[in-house]
Amino acid sequence: MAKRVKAVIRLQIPAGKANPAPPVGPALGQHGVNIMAFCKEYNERTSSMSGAIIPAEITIYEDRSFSFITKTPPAADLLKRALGVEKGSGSPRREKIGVVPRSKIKEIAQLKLKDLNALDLDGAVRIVEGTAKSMGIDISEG
Amino acid sequence: MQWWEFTAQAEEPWTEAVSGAFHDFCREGVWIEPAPPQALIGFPTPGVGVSMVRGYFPVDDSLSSRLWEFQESLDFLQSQGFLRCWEKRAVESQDWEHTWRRHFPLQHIGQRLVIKPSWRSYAPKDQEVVVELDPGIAFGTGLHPTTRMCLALLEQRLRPGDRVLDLGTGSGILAIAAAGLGAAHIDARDVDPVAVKAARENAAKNGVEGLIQVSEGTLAPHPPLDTAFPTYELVLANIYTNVLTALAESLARALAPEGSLIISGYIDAHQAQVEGALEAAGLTLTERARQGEWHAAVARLAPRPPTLQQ
Repeated sequence: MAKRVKAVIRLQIPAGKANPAPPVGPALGQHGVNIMAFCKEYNERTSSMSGAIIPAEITIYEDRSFSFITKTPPAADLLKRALGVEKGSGSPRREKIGVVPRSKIKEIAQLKLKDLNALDLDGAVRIVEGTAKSMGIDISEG
Repeated sequence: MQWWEFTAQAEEPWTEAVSGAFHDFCREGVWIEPAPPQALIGFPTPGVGVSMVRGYFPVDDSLSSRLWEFQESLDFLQSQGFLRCWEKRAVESQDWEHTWRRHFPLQHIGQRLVIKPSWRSYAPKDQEVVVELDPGIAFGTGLHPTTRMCLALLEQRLRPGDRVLDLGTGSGILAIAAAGLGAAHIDARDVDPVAVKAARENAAKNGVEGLIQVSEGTLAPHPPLDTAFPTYELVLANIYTNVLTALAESLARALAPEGSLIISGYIDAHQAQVEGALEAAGLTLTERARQGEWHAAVARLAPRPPTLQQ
Protein backbone atom coordinates (compact mmCIF):
# COMPACT_ATOMS: atom_id res chain seq x y z
CA MET A 1 0.00 0.00 0.00
CA ALA A 2 1.29 3.44 -0.84
CA LYS A 3 2.37 5.47 2.16
CA ARG A 4 0.34 8.54 3.02
CA VAL A 5 2.02 11.84 2.35
CA LYS A 6 2.14 14.22 5.31
CA ALA A 7 3.89 17.18 3.72
CA VAL A 8 6.00 18.32 0.79
CA ILE A 9 8.72 20.89 1.39
CA ARG A 10 11.56 22.33 -0.64
CA LEU A 11 15.01 23.10 0.68
CA GLN A 12 17.36 25.20 -1.41
CA ILE A 13 20.78 24.51 0.06
CA PRO A 14 24.40 24.60 -1.10
CA ALA A 15 25.34 21.27 -2.74
CA GLY A 16 27.16 18.88 -0.41
CA LYS A 17 26.77 21.17 2.60
CA ALA A 18 23.51 20.19 4.29
CA ASN A 19 23.80 20.32 8.07
CA PRO A 20 21.35 20.25 10.96
CA ALA A 21 21.42 24.03 11.51
CA PRO A 22 18.57 26.09 10.03
CA PRO A 23 16.96 25.84 7.59
CA VAL A 24 17.33 22.02 7.43
CA GLY A 25 16.86 21.41 11.18
CA PRO A 26 13.57 23.27 11.69
CA ALA A 27 12.14 22.31 8.28
CA LEU A 28 12.56 18.57 8.90
CA GLY A 29 12.47 18.56 12.71
CA GLN A 30 8.91 19.86 12.83
CA HIS A 31 7.81 16.74 10.95
CA GLY A 32 9.87 14.35 13.10
CA VAL A 33 12.12 13.44 10.17
CA ASN A 34 15.62 12.10 10.87
CA ILE A 35 17.60 15.27 10.14
CA MET A 36 21.01 13.63 9.86
CA ALA A 37 19.75 10.93 7.51
CA PHE A 38 18.56 13.62 5.12
CA CYS A 39 21.85 15.53 5.38
CA LYS A 40 23.90 12.44 4.64
CA GLU A 41 21.82 11.47 1.65
CA TYR A 42 21.65 14.98 0.23
CA ASN A 43 25.40 15.51 0.62
CA GLU A 44 26.21 12.18 -1.01
CA ARG A 45 23.89 12.80 -3.95
CA THR A 46 25.10 16.36 -4.57
CA SER A 47 28.78 15.88 -3.74
CA SER A 48 29.86 16.45 -7.34
CA MET A 49 27.96 19.75 -7.76
CA SER A 50 29.69 21.84 -5.12
CA GLY A 51 29.36 25.60 -5.51
CA ALA A 52 25.76 25.48 -6.75
CA ILE A 53 22.53 25.76 -4.80
CA ILE A 54 20.70 22.49 -5.42
CA PRO A 55 17.08 22.46 -4.32
CA ALA A 56 15.63 19.26 -2.86
CA GLU A 57 11.92 18.58 -2.97
CA ILE A 58 11.22 16.37 0.01
CA THR A 59 8.12 14.26 0.45
CA ILE A 60 7.44 13.40 4.09
CA TYR A 61 5.16 10.46 4.87
CA GLU A 62 2.87 9.80 7.82
CA ASP A 63 5.40 7.35 9.32
CA ARG A 64 8.08 10.14 9.28
CA SER A 65 10.06 8.46 6.52
CA PHE A 66 10.95 10.66 3.57
CA SER A 67 12.10 10.65 -0.03
CA PHE A 68 13.45 13.48 -2.11
CA ILE A 69 14.38 14.53 -5.61
CA THR A 70 16.85 17.24 -6.56
CA LYS A 71 15.90 20.10 -8.87
CA THR A 72 17.61 22.65 -11.07
CA PRO A 73 19.37 25.53 -9.25
CA PRO A 74 17.13 28.57 -8.44
CA ALA A 75 16.79 31.16 -11.21
CA ALA A 76 18.47 33.77 -8.98
CA ASP A 77 21.49 31.50 -8.50
CA LEU A 78 21.81 30.94 -12.27
CA LEU A 79 21.50 34.69 -12.94
CA LYS A 80 24.19 35.51 -10.36
CA ARG A 81 26.51 32.94 -11.93
CA ALA A 82 25.79 34.34 -15.42
CA LEU A 83 26.89 37.76 -14.14
CA GLY A 84 29.69 36.43 -11.96
CA VAL A 85 28.38 38.29 -8.90
CA GLU A 86 27.89 36.98 -5.39
CA LYS A 87 24.60 38.60 -4.49
CA GLY A 88 21.68 40.58 -5.85
CA SER A 89 21.12 44.25 -5.23
CA GLY A 90 19.56 45.01 -1.85
CA SER A 91 17.77 47.99 -3.39
CA PRO A 92 17.19 47.12 -7.05
CA ARG A 93 15.61 50.44 -7.94
CA ARG A 94 18.63 52.52 -6.94
CA GLU A 95 21.44 50.14 -7.57
CA LYS A 96 21.78 47.88 -10.62
CA ILE A 97 24.16 44.97 -10.48
CA GLY A 98 24.47 44.25 -14.19
CA VAL A 99 22.96 43.50 -17.57
CA VAL A 100 22.06 40.07 -18.92
CA PRO A 101 21.15 39.51 -22.59
CA ARG A 102 17.67 38.20 -23.40
CA SER A 103 19.22 35.09 -24.96
CA LYS A 104 20.69 34.16 -21.56
CA ILE A 105 17.30 34.69 -19.88
CA LYS A 106 15.79 32.31 -22.43
CA GLU A 107 18.53 29.76 -21.83
CA ILE A 108 17.89 29.83 -18.07
CA ALA A 109 14.12 29.62 -18.64
CA GLN A 110 14.63 26.58 -20.89
CA LEU A 111 16.77 24.87 -18.27
CA LYS A 112 14.27 25.58 -15.53
CA LEU A 113 11.07 25.01 -17.49
CA LYS A 114 10.29 21.64 -15.93
CA ASP A 115 10.67 22.97 -12.39
CA LEU A 116 8.84 26.27 -12.77
CA ASN A 117 5.14 26.81 -12.28
CA ALA A 118 4.75 27.85 -15.91
CA LEU A 119 2.66 26.61 -18.77
CA ASP A 120 5.23 27.08 -21.52
CA LEU A 121 8.61 28.60 -22.32
CA ASP A 122 7.08 32.06 -22.63
CA GLY A 123 5.72 31.86 -19.08
CA ALA A 124 9.08 30.58 -17.79
CA VAL A 125 10.89 33.46 -19.52
CA ARG A 126 8.62 35.94 -17.76
CA ILE A 127 9.31 34.34 -14.38
CA VAL A 128 13.08 34.54 -14.96
CA GLU A 129 12.73 38.16 -16.17
CA GLY A 130 10.79 39.03 -13.03
CA THR A 131 13.45 37.40 -10.87
CA ALA A 132 16.17 39.39 -12.70
CA LYS A 133 14.22 42.60 -12.10
CA SER A 134 13.84 41.82 -8.39
CA MET A 135 17.62 41.47 -8.15
CA GLY A 136 18.49 44.72 -9.91
CA ILE A 137 19.49 43.10 -13.21
CA ASP A 138 18.66 44.84 -16.50
CA ILE A 139 17.97 42.85 -19.64
CA SER A 140 19.51 43.75 -22.99
CA GLU A 141 18.20 42.69 -26.38
CA GLY A 142 20.23 40.05 -28.11
CA MET B 1 21.11 28.99 20.30
CA GLN B 2 18.72 31.67 19.12
CA TRP B 3 17.84 32.49 15.52
CA TRP B 4 15.75 35.06 13.71
CA GLU B 5 13.31 33.23 11.49
CA PHE B 6 12.09 35.25 8.52
CA THR B 7 8.96 34.09 6.72
CA ALA B 8 7.71 35.72 3.54
CA GLN B 9 4.48 34.89 1.76
CA ALA B 10 5.55 34.81 -1.87
CA GLU B 11 2.93 35.27 -4.57
CA GLU B 12 3.13 32.49 -7.14
CA PRO B 13 4.94 32.49 -9.51
CA TRP B 14 7.42 34.74 -7.69
CA THR B 15 8.76 32.16 -5.25
CA GLU B 16 12.01 32.07 -7.22
CA ALA B 17 12.47 35.84 -7.00
CA VAL B 18 11.75 35.90 -3.26
CA SER B 19 13.96 32.90 -2.47
CA GLY B 20 16.71 34.60 -4.50
CA ALA B 21 16.65 37.57 -2.11
CA PHE B 22 16.76 35.19 0.87
CA HIS B 23 19.84 33.46 -0.53
CA ASP B 24 21.72 36.76 -0.61
CA PHE B 25 21.48 36.88 3.18
CA CYS B 26 20.80 33.37 4.46
CA ARG B 27 23.87 31.47 3.28
CA GLU B 28 22.88 28.14 4.84
CA GLY B 29 19.89 27.97 2.54
CA VAL B 30 16.19 28.57 2.23
CA TRP B 31 13.16 26.53 3.18
CA ILE B 32 10.04 26.71 1.03
CA GLU B 33 6.58 25.39 1.78
CA PRO B 34 5.12 25.39 -1.71
CA ALA B 35 1.61 26.54 -2.48
CA PRO B 36 -0.81 23.61 -2.78
CA PRO B 37 -0.46 22.11 -6.25
CA GLN B 38 -2.61 23.84 -8.86
CA ALA B 39 -3.22 23.24 -12.48
CA LEU B 40 -0.34 24.73 -14.47
CA ILE B 41 -1.05 28.37 -15.00
CA GLY B 42 -0.78 30.82 -17.80
CA PHE B 43 0.88 34.07 -16.93
CA PRO B 44 0.33 36.11 -14.89
CA THR B 45 -2.48 34.85 -12.68
CA PRO B 46 -2.33 36.78 -9.43
CA GLY B 47 -3.66 35.18 -6.29
CA VAL B 48 -3.25 31.65 -7.63
CA GLY B 49 -1.29 30.57 -4.59
CA VAL B 50 1.09 31.65 -1.89
CA SER B 51 4.32 29.86 -0.95
CA MET B 52 5.99 30.32 2.41
CA VAL B 53 9.69 31.14 2.03
CA ARG B 54 11.81 30.89 5.20
CA GLY B 55 15.38 31.76 6.06
CA TYR B 56 17.42 32.13 9.25
CA PHE B 57 19.91 34.51 10.80
CA PRO B 58 21.77 33.76 14.03
CA VAL B 59 20.82 36.31 16.69
CA ASP B 60 24.10 38.20 16.85
CA ASP B 61 24.65 41.92 17.28
CA SER B 62 27.52 41.97 14.83
CA LEU B 63 25.05 41.12 12.05
CA SER B 64 22.64 43.97 12.72
CA SER B 65 23.58 45.95 9.59
CA ARG B 66 23.01 42.90 7.37
CA LEU B 67 19.73 42.26 9.14
CA TRP B 68 18.68 45.80 8.34
CA GLU B 69 19.71 45.42 4.72
CA PHE B 70 17.73 42.19 4.44
CA GLN B 71 14.59 43.79 5.86
CA GLU B 72 14.96 46.64 3.40
CA SER B 73 15.22 44.19 0.55
CA LEU B 74 12.05 42.37 1.69
CA ASP B 75 10.21 45.70 1.90
CA PHE B 76 11.23 46.43 -1.66
CA LEU B 77 9.97 43.03 -2.91
CA GLN B 78 6.69 43.67 -1.10
CA SER B 79 6.33 47.12 -2.70
CA GLN B 80 6.79 45.52 -6.13
CA GLY B 81 4.19 42.81 -5.53
CA PHE B 82 6.61 39.87 -5.38
CA LEU B 83 5.56 39.03 -1.87
CA ARG B 84 2.38 39.60 0.08
CA CYS B 85 3.91 40.16 3.52
CA TRP B 86 6.81 39.07 5.69
CA GLU B 87 7.46 38.57 9.38
CA LYS B 88 10.33 37.87 11.73
CA ARG B 89 10.34 35.93 14.99
CA ALA B 90 12.96 34.55 17.39
CA VAL B 91 13.26 30.74 17.59
CA GLU B 92 15.37 28.42 19.74
CA SER B 93 17.36 25.57 18.20
CA GLN B 94 16.08 23.17 20.90
CA ASP B 95 12.61 23.50 19.44
CA TRP B 96 13.36 21.28 16.48
CA GLU B 97 16.05 19.14 18.09
CA HIS B 98 13.58 17.97 20.72
CA THR B 99 10.77 17.29 18.27
CA TRP B 100 13.02 14.88 16.46
CA ARG B 101 14.29 13.17 19.61
CA ARG B 102 10.80 12.17 20.63
CA HIS B 103 10.77 9.80 17.67
CA PHE B 104 14.13 8.12 18.26
CA PRO B 105 13.40 4.39 18.78
CA LEU B 106 15.26 1.53 20.44
CA GLN B 107 16.82 -0.64 17.73
CA HIS B 108 18.02 -4.22 17.48
CA ILE B 109 20.69 -4.71 14.82
CA GLY B 110 22.40 -7.94 13.78
CA GLN B 111 22.34 -10.76 16.37
CA ARG B 112 23.46 -8.96 19.52
CA LEU B 113 23.53 -5.20 19.10
CA VAL B 114 20.99 -2.88 20.66
CA ILE B 115 21.10 0.88 20.03
CA LYS B 116 19.40 2.75 22.83
CA PRO B 117 18.78 6.50 23.18
CA SER B 118 20.03 7.67 26.56
CA TRP B 119 16.57 8.61 27.83
CA ARG B 120 15.03 5.16 27.31
CA SER B 121 15.59 2.21 29.65
CA TYR B 122 16.29 -1.32 28.49
CA ALA B 123 17.31 -4.54 30.27
CA PRO B 124 19.72 -6.38 27.95
CA LYS B 125 19.30 -10.11 27.43
CA ASP B 126 22.24 -12.58 27.50
CA GLN B 127 25.03 -11.73 25.09
CA GLU B 128 23.40 -8.48 23.97
CA VAL B 129 25.65 -5.46 23.55
CA VAL B 130 23.91 -2.17 24.27
CA VAL B 131 25.19 1.05 22.71
CA GLU B 132 23.76 4.05 24.48
CA LEU B 133 23.61 7.16 22.36
CA ASP B 134 22.51 10.69 22.84
CA PRO B 135 21.75 11.53 19.26
CA GLY B 136 22.94 15.07 18.96
CA ILE B 137 23.85 16.54 15.65
CA ALA B 138 26.74 14.23 14.71
CA PHE B 139 26.29 11.52 12.08
CA GLY B 140 25.46 8.01 13.20
CA THR B 141 22.18 7.34 15.00
CA GLY B 142 21.70 3.76 13.89
CA LEU B 143 18.66 4.84 11.91
CA HIS B 144 20.50 5.16 8.63
CA PRO B 145 20.87 2.13 6.33
CA THR B 146 24.65 2.61 6.07
CA THR B 147 25.10 2.63 9.85
CA ARG B 148 22.90 -0.45 10.20
CA MET B 149 24.83 -2.34 7.50
CA CYS B 150 28.17 -1.37 9.08
CA LEU B 151 26.99 -2.50 12.52
CA ALA B 152 25.83 -5.87 11.16
CA LEU B 153 29.09 -6.41 9.24
CA LEU B 154 31.13 -5.28 12.25
CA GLU B 155 29.39 -7.82 14.45
CA GLN B 156 30.23 -10.60 11.97
CA ARG B 157 33.83 -9.60 11.37
CA LEU B 158 35.18 -8.39 14.68
CA ARG B 159 37.22 -10.86 16.70
CA PRO B 160 37.90 -10.18 20.37
CA GLY B 161 41.24 -8.45 20.78
CA ASP B 162 41.19 -6.73 17.35
CA ARG B 163 42.66 -3.28 16.89
CA VAL B 164 40.12 -1.11 15.08
CA LEU B 165 40.28 2.15 13.11
CA ASP B 166 36.96 4.01 12.73
CA LEU B 167 37.33 6.76 10.19
CA GLY B 168 34.58 9.38 10.14
CA THR B 169 33.34 8.23 13.53
CA GLY B 170 30.52 10.79 13.84
CA SER B 171 28.59 10.04 17.02
CA GLY B 172 31.07 7.21 17.72
CA ILE B 173 28.38 4.55 17.27
CA LEU B 174 30.56 2.05 15.38
CA ALA B 175 33.54 2.54 17.69
CA ILE B 176 31.39 2.01 20.79
CA ALA B 177 29.80 -1.11 19.28
CA ALA B 178 33.32 -2.42 18.47
CA ALA B 179 34.34 -1.85 22.09
CA GLY B 180 31.25 -3.70 23.31
CA LEU B 181 31.98 -6.60 20.96
CA GLY B 182 35.48 -7.05 22.38
CA ALA B 183 37.92 -4.89 20.41
CA ALA B 184 41.18 -4.29 22.29
CA HIS B 185 41.60 -0.71 21.12
CA ILE B 186 39.75 1.64 18.78
CA ASP B 187 41.26 4.61 17.06
CA ALA B 188 38.28 6.87 16.16
CA ARG B 189 38.79 9.91 13.96
CA ASP B 190 36.63 12.61 12.45
CA VAL B 191 37.45 15.87 10.69
CA ASP B 192 34.44 17.56 12.30
CA PRO B 193 35.12 18.91 15.82
CA VAL B 194 31.41 18.59 16.68
CA ALA B 195 31.65 14.86 15.95
CA VAL B 196 34.84 14.49 18.00
CA LYS B 197 33.10 16.02 21.00
CA ALA B 198 29.96 13.89 20.53
CA ALA B 199 32.02 10.69 20.11
CA ARG B 200 33.98 11.41 23.31
CA GLU B 201 30.80 12.06 25.26
CA ASN B 202 29.11 8.96 23.92
CA ALA B 203 32.18 6.80 24.65
CA ALA B 204 32.21 8.05 28.25
CA LYS B 205 28.46 7.45 28.59
CA ASN B 206 29.07 3.80 27.64
CA GLY B 207 32.06 3.46 29.97
CA VAL B 208 34.44 2.60 27.11
CA GLU B 209 36.44 5.83 26.92
CA GLY B 210 39.52 3.86 28.01
CA LEU B 211 39.32 1.71 24.87
CA ILE B 212 38.51 4.42 22.35
CA GLN B 213 40.92 7.14 21.43
CA VAL B 214 38.96 9.88 19.67
CA SER B 215 40.92 12.45 17.68
CA GLU B 216 40.25 15.14 15.11
CA GLY B 217 41.67 14.17 11.72
CA THR B 218 41.77 11.66 8.94
CA LEU B 219 44.34 9.61 7.01
CA ALA B 220 46.80 11.22 4.62
CA PRO B 221 45.55 10.47 1.09
CA HIS B 222 48.83 9.22 -0.41
CA PRO B 223 51.25 8.30 2.35
CA PRO B 224 54.86 7.88 1.20
CA LEU B 225 55.73 4.20 1.00
CA ASP B 226 58.60 4.45 3.45
CA THR B 227 56.57 5.90 6.32
CA ALA B 228 55.65 3.57 9.12
CA PHE B 229 51.88 3.23 9.23
CA PRO B 230 49.99 1.74 12.16
CA THR B 231 47.83 -1.16 11.01
CA TYR B 232 44.53 -2.54 12.24
CA GLU B 233 42.73 -5.88 12.01
CA LEU B 234 39.52 -4.01 11.26
CA VAL B 235 39.07 -0.67 9.50
CA LEU B 236 35.65 1.03 9.35
CA ALA B 237 34.90 3.88 6.95
CA ASN B 238 31.28 4.97 6.58
CA ILE B 239 31.81 8.27 4.76
CA TYR B 240 31.13 9.62 1.23
CA THR B 241 32.16 8.54 -2.24
CA ASN B 242 34.66 11.36 -2.69
CA VAL B 243 36.42 10.66 0.59
CA LEU B 244 36.40 6.89 0.16
CA THR B 245 37.86 7.20 -3.32
CA ALA B 246 40.56 9.66 -2.28
CA LEU B 247 41.54 7.57 0.75
CA ALA B 248 41.40 4.09 -0.85
CA GLU B 249 45.18 3.74 -0.88
CA SER B 250 45.55 4.82 2.76
CA LEU B 251 42.73 2.53 3.86
CA ALA B 252 44.57 -0.38 2.24
CA ARG B 253 47.83 0.65 3.95
CA ALA B 254 46.06 0.79 7.33
CA LEU B 255 44.98 -2.87 7.10
CA ALA B 256 46.91 -5.63 8.84
CA PRO B 257 47.70 -8.55 6.47
CA GLU B 258 44.62 -10.59 7.45
CA GLY B 259 42.49 -7.55 8.26
CA SER B 260 39.08 -6.52 6.94
CA LEU B 261 37.93 -3.15 5.67
CA ILE B 262 34.23 -2.33 6.05
CA ILE B 263 33.12 0.62 3.96
CA SER B 264 29.78 2.27 3.31
CA GLY B 265 28.19 5.61 2.53
CA TYR B 266 27.84 5.40 -1.26
CA ILE B 267 24.81 4.96 -3.48
CA ASP B 268 24.07 2.88 -6.60
CA ALA B 269 25.36 5.56 -8.95
CA HIS B 270 28.80 5.61 -7.27
CA GLN B 271 29.27 1.89 -6.62
CA ALA B 272 31.56 1.30 -9.60
CA GLN B 273 33.69 4.35 -8.74
CA VAL B 274 34.22 3.30 -5.11
CA GLU B 275 34.82 -0.37 -5.85
CA GLY B 276 37.18 0.57 -8.69
CA ALA B 277 39.24 2.76 -6.35
CA LEU B 278 39.49 -0.05 -3.78
CA GLU B 279 40.62 -2.56 -6.38
CA ALA B 280 43.17 -0.11 -7.76
CA ALA B 281 44.50 0.21 -4.20
CA GLY B 282 45.12 -3.55 -4.06
CA LEU B 283 41.98 -4.62 -2.22
CA THR B 284 39.62 -7.48 -3.06
CA LEU B 285 35.93 -7.24 -2.25
CA THR B 286 34.76 -10.26 -0.27
CA GLU B 287 31.22 -9.23 0.56
CA ARG B 288 28.65 -6.69 -0.55
CA ALA B 289 25.55 -5.44 1.26
CA ARG B 290 22.80 -3.18 0.08
CA GLN B 291 19.77 -1.47 1.61
CA GLY B 292 17.66 0.65 -0.72
CA GLU B 293 20.09 2.64 -2.83
CA TRP B 294 22.85 2.47 -0.19
CA HIS B 295 25.82 0.12 -0.40
CA ALA B 296 28.34 -1.37 1.97
CA ALA B 297 31.20 -3.79 1.34
CA VAL B 298 33.92 -5.77 3.03
CA ALA B 299 37.36 -5.78 1.41
CA ARG B 300 40.66 -7.49 2.18
CA LEU B 301 44.16 -7.09 0.91
CA ALA B 302 44.62 -9.06 -2.29
CA PRO B 303 47.42 -11.64 -1.97
CA ARG B 304 50.50 -10.17 -3.63
CA PRO B 305 52.00 -12.00 -6.59
CA PRO B 306 54.98 -14.05 -5.33
CA THR B 307 57.52 -11.98 -7.27
CA LEU B 308 56.58 -8.88 -5.31
CA GLN B 309 56.88 -10.51 -1.93
CA GLN B 310 60.07 -9.77 -0.11
